[in-house]
Amino acid sequence: MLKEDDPSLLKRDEESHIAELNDVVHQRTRLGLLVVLRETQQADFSYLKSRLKLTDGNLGQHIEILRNHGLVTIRKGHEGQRARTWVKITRAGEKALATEIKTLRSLFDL
Amino acid sequence: MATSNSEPMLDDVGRLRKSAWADRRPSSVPLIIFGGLAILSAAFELSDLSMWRLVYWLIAGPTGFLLSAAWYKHRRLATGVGAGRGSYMKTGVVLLISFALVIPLWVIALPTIGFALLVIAVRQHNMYLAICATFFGVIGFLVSIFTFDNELYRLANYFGFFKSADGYFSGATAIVDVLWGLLMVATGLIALKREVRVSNA
Repeated sequence: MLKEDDPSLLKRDEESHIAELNDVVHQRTRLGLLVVLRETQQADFSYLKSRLKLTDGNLGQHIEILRNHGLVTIRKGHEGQRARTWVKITRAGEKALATEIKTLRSLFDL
Repeated sequence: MATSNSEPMLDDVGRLRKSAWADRRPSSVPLIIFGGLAILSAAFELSDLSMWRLVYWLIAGPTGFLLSAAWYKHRRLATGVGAGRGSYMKTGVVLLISFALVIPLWVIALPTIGFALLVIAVRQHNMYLAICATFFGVIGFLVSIFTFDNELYRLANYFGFFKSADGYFSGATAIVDVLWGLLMVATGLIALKREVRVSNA
């Protein structure tokens, strides 16, 4: 019997993929943050805020969660008169993102 | 539930990735810089300093990478967007040291520069830049072994613009350098147009 013919087999397959999803990365905003950082390697707070259309508080909260899980690092500094916060993706962050995208694609292909 | 959500999520991820990619200006900057350097190299041919053309590329190659690094640093500070994977600064320094220590590389300076650009393009998963870098290396190699000069010389002779009896057609290298450089700049400007469009979308 083909897997497509048996809904219970398909459901089991989907559940096994869902179990692979990382709750920290799967959240929409954090996934977006990691995607942007994967592409740019590092970006400052203002850029991330405008690119992802987030408020200061919301962005800060999500960055903090990613940092607590070792997926990004934060560097604060001054450039001239301007205070800037740089967010950089870590290797663990890149790996977690790659796994998440792979899992999402597997679910999409079911 | 997750299956039905994964498609729009992947679409969003793809769109966001493209925007961040375009914000970096990943292809246009190096193409315009190296195209400009190729056009500038024609000056050596026109001013009877053709022997210095080789030395020019030994310095201009690493300088191209350092100029790209400087531009990306400026952009990072101005807009807050990082340059992505692959450091132009490190590549430029490594290339400069390699040219200083490995003399045989002088013969293949242009393919070496093209290869260094290709490495960055591969690290950034940038197909457009990879194709242009390969083109730069291959054309650069053919230029350095005078392939285009000879062909232009033959063509000029065939159409009667410049007879072989007149001697060597020294303007050919300058023509090739300018055409090759203009082509690089044009591909860079096309890339820039696309990057700006995707950035603002």
